[in-house]
Amino acid sequence: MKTALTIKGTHCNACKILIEDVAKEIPGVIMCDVDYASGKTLIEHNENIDWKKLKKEIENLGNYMIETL
Amino acid sequence: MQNKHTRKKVKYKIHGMHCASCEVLIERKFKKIYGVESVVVSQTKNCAEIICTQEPHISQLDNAVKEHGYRVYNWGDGSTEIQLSSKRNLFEAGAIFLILLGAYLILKQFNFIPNIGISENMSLGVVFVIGLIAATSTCIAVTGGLLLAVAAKYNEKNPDLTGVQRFRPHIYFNAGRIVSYTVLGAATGALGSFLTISAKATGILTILASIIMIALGFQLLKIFPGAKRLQLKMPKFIQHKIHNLSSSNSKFASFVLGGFTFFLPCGFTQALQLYVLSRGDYKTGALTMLVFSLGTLPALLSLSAISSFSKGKFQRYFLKFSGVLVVMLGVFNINNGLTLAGSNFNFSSIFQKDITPISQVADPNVEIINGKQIVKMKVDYIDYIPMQFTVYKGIPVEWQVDGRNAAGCVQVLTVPKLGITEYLPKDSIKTITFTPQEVGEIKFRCSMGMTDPRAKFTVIENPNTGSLPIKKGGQPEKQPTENTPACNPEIQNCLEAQKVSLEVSRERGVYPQLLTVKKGIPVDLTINNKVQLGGCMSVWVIPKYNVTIPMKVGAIKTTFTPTETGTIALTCSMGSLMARFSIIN
Repeated sequence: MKTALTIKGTHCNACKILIEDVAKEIPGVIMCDVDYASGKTLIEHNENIDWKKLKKEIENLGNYMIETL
Repeated sequence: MQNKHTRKKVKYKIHGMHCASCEVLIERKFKKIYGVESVVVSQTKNCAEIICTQEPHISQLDNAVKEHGYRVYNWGDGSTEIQLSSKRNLFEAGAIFLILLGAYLILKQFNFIPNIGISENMSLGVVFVIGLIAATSTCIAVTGGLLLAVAAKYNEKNPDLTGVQRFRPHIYFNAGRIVSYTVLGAATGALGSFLTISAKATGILTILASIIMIALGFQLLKIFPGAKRLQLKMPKFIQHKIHNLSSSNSKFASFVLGGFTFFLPCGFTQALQLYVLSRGDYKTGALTMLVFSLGTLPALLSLSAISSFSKGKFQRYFLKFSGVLVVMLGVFNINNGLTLAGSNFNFSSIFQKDITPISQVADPNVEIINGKQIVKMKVDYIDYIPMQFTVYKGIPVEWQVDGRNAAGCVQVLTVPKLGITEYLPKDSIKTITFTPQEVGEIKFRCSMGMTDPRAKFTVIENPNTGSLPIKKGGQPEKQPTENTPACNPEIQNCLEAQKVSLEVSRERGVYPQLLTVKKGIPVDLTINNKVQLGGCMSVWVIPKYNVTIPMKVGAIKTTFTPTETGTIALTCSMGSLMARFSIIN
């Protein structure tokens, strides 16, 4: 299944790559795509996804903020 | 735990980093390489320090991050590379500096740049350019990110929008931004006036604003790696608050957020806020911030275009160009700030070693030559350029006014405090001489008071009173040149003046309308004025002979000698005909 999120604070390609990398390491995440200009993020995942961990890991990177929709 | 002994610390140069995300990204990539235990990447130092049990090959590291646009070099190689590139940077910056300086000098020659820099008269054009630069460099990071977040949110909640509708949040955001900049700019200016900031404090504020600008300039130039750290960062909790607010998607929220950007830590905005504060005038404040926000508008409205163009070579040079420009503006301003703060140090003195101390004037528009303060002013339509001068008390001022482009009532220049009223001839430069006797302001204006009320001389104490090199001991002040040379009956045959008179009354207007006088003989004109005259009528002029007549109620006497036959006009200060003289042989 796919979930769309918005991540605030992304401003460059480094942010995109970083977030995608981190997200893909979270159990349950299959694919992640970030558009750094808008912060729109699409995550492909299964039922086991640990949303809390995902949020924590990404927000720990720095200035990012996730809002779940 | 024997590993500990075999651990090594290796340092690498990394090229291509520009933000904290880059640091984290590279750290993560390197950690995955076999043998690497920990990585510390520093964007400001452009380096990565690796602690490893087995030193990875440089190509391994390079390959890991190459695809993301970073390059890894050995610390030794890298540093020569860096030196080269920073030399090149310096070279380019130097070249741009020379170009800009040349352009400035040329434009100055043609008087295209009346005022540059955050000075008391910072022109709005300069503010606009600062806005343009700001939006395409530092502000885009802070404001742009926020705007994109707002827009994305809005569009997400309303997925079925047309292109124009999608653009709406941008409009609300920017409208909010412009409105708040204007209003808060006015508020900042008003705050400044409320605080009644002294000249010294204004100077210090100006210097502060200039330092921020210079730091930003260096940051754009990337010459000094240290300058990177100068950027102010917003405390995280505020950032979170603002981002939270952007979660609500109403138009109002877009508007309010746009407004809040006034408080975002963009160095340029801060520099201008300081400037506005120091000016202490709500009108200037509103106008300055309005123009600045308009300057940032093009970039903010075309965010996507900007971010795509920001990769190319063009941006590299654009940033360099902006960087040099900003540093130059900063230096100009520091100069102004130093003057205001009461320091006699002047940047131009660095370049002019052999000047005498008295030549160090507080105002670059005032030159001291032969013990006189030469002030040059141009009148363009109804503007005095420049319109403010700083002169020293007790030193004669020779005020050369080029009024050839003066319009209407501005053809007559009055200095009420000194009782000077002068007609500015259409074909030559008028020289007015006076000696300021006390510290303070001497305002000047046109005969109708329509010119900028800020036009003035600021008279300051002469810092070198003791060593004033006024030559020949005496007062070198010239008597104002008289239109009629006084006749001395002892050495020449004086012609008896022709006495003529005019009457100005409600009943008869100006009577008579035509006066006939002889050529070559002084004319004693008496105007019997019975009416309180205002506006352009408060000063009458005989343009042909540069005679100005302040029209008080009562009998007003003036003298001139006609040198040519024909008809000449007596006009009001705006040029309307009042009466005529017919000059005969």
